[in-house]
Amino acid sequence: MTGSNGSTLAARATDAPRMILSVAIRKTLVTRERRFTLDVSFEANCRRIVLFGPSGAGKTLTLQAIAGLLRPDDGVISLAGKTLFDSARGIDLPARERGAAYLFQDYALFPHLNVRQNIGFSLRRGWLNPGARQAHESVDYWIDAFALESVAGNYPAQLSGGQKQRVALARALVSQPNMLLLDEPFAALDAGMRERTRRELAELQARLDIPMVLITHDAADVAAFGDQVIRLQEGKVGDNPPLHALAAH
Amino acid sequence: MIFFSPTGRRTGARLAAAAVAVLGCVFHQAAHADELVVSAATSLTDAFKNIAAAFEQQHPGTKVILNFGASDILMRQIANGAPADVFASADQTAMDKAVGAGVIDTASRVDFAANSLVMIVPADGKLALKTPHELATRSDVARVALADPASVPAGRYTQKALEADSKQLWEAIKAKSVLATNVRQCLDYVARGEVEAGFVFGTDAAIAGRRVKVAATLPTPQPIAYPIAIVKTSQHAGEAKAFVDYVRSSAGQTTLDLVLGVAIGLALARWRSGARDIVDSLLTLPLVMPPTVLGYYLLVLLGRRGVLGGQLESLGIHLVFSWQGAVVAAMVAAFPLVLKSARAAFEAVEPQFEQAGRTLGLGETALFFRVTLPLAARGILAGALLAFARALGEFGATLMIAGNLPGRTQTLSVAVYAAVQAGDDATANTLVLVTSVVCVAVLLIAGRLVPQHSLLTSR
Repeated sequence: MTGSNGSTLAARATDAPRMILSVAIRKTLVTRERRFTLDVSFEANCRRIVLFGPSGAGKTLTLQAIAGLLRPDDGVISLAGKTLFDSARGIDLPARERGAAYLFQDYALFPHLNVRQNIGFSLRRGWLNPGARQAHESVDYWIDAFALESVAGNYPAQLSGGQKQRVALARALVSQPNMLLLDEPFAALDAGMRERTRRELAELQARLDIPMVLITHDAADVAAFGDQVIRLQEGKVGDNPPLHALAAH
Repeated sequence: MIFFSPTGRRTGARLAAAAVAVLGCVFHQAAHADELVVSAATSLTDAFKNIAAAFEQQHPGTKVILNFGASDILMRQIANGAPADVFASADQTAMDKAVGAGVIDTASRVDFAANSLVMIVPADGKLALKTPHELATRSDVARVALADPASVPAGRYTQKALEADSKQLWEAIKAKSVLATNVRQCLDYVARGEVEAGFVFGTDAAIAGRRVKVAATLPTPQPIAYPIAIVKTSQHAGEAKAFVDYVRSSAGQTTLDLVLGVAIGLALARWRSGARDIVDSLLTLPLVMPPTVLGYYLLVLLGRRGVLGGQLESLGIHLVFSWQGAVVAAMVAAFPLVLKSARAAFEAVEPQFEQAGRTLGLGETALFFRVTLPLAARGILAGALLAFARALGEFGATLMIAGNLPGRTQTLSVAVYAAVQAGDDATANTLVLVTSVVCVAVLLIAGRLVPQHSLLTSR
């Protein structure tokens, strides 16, 4: 794998501005029990990318690095020709400036804010949270689109799993991000709900035409979203298997 | 005792019954065989320890249990049924009050020792003070230590002695006074140089040895005499009489004199070894230990001769006996509560919420105010409430560093203590009521401030 030489990678990233997402990073994490090295390098020019692999393969770490929540030891990350991270050039765009919407596995809805406040969170700047009943065009749009009117004043603890996911998605999309990062978006849902949500998300992505990176260890997700599949194994990118082989799992 | 419950009468009656039962047990314990309980004024501490030891040698089988305190406190304890056999007061007033309460065998009352009232200054004091008049007139005399006349005999003698000179003299010195809750505290203030001068008994001045100088001996309108008497309810009238006789006897008198020598020797020993001095100072303060230790450290650190105090002094900042000192004491005492609670609360905030805030475009400052702080608010509030309650109840450290200056450095609990000591139950009741109302109000407000949903998490 490439990725050990930062400057070569940087040159390549800028040489290929049409590339949607280019990742070539290394990160070593050391705990008392074990040492884990993430050495991931891939280029993707599809609108729907799936990071696929077993638990502990480094999928979430890779996604966090793209979002700017994890700082790689070295390497390059660029999106649509824009460099998000480049250790050689000392570029490290903070998460708030990357325009990446991140959907956390268990949604991370702010427990002290109601549904309306959660969705409108990124629209309000400054040191204060949006008011509990503050109306906003975009917020109303997403509440309507995701059928959340009945729970708009509720707090996250009072929501069902599906509602939480829709709120989290609305919160991520309301600021019109240029990339959607989804960490196991269906893992917390039951089987029936999972199928329906998967379909809805596919429709939504197609409608918004937003680049999307999705993490999963579920082959069904790969079949639904895997325009391009990056297979991760123990912190490294493995050989990309043919899609039908995965779907047959 | 005060009961605020609407059903207070019945509850009160039951509690009173329980208290009587408990007291009965205590009394039974105290009344065991040949134990003699002697309640004596604080200024008699050293003398009576020696007397008790000598008495026990001459009366094998009799154990003397000594209970030292401010005379008025002891009087009130006895008046309220404390199982004392002998009462030795530092002045006639406290004994008169005990007689008035009908708890003293008046026939047994006798003066057993005399003392003098002296004005003392720190041994290394730069001001050459010779008379009380200089304390009143000189502008470089800012503070004078005075035992609280409301409850301490030494203070009463001081007031009478100064008033005998002129009312104006008393008022002028009173305006500069720092009130001590017992005569040893007064002595300590002078010995540490926290005040320019103080008034104590001659025997107390002797105990401090080289650390204080006697500037003047004050004539008192009434001779300073220590009365001793047998408590009416004593179950050990025989032993009690023997003890009173012993105190009066030559052996007792000799011991009183001897004590001075021993005390001076001890003071000299302390002079060389600071550790004992510290331990003693702490032990003699009738306060809960940890706040006292804290107050002591603050005094050592921030006092005029303290490590930091000297530098603060040169900057014009005076912490000892100032309201700033009271604030510092309360703050230092309560700060760990806030710190610990806040730290635990912040640690309990899941990093994921902060991560979510970052991806939603928040800078670190906004993140703190919009996500971290609200999620930790409950824990911090709990800590702040504890700290507030601690600061409200702050007693030991405050009293040591800030003194007891009504309207200036007197905290609620110090004021309650002072009121109870002075027998001013009306003031005490008011203060206790105010404190209780404030505490309940704080809890109610806190309950409203923290919405219910933050009890839950979104996981």
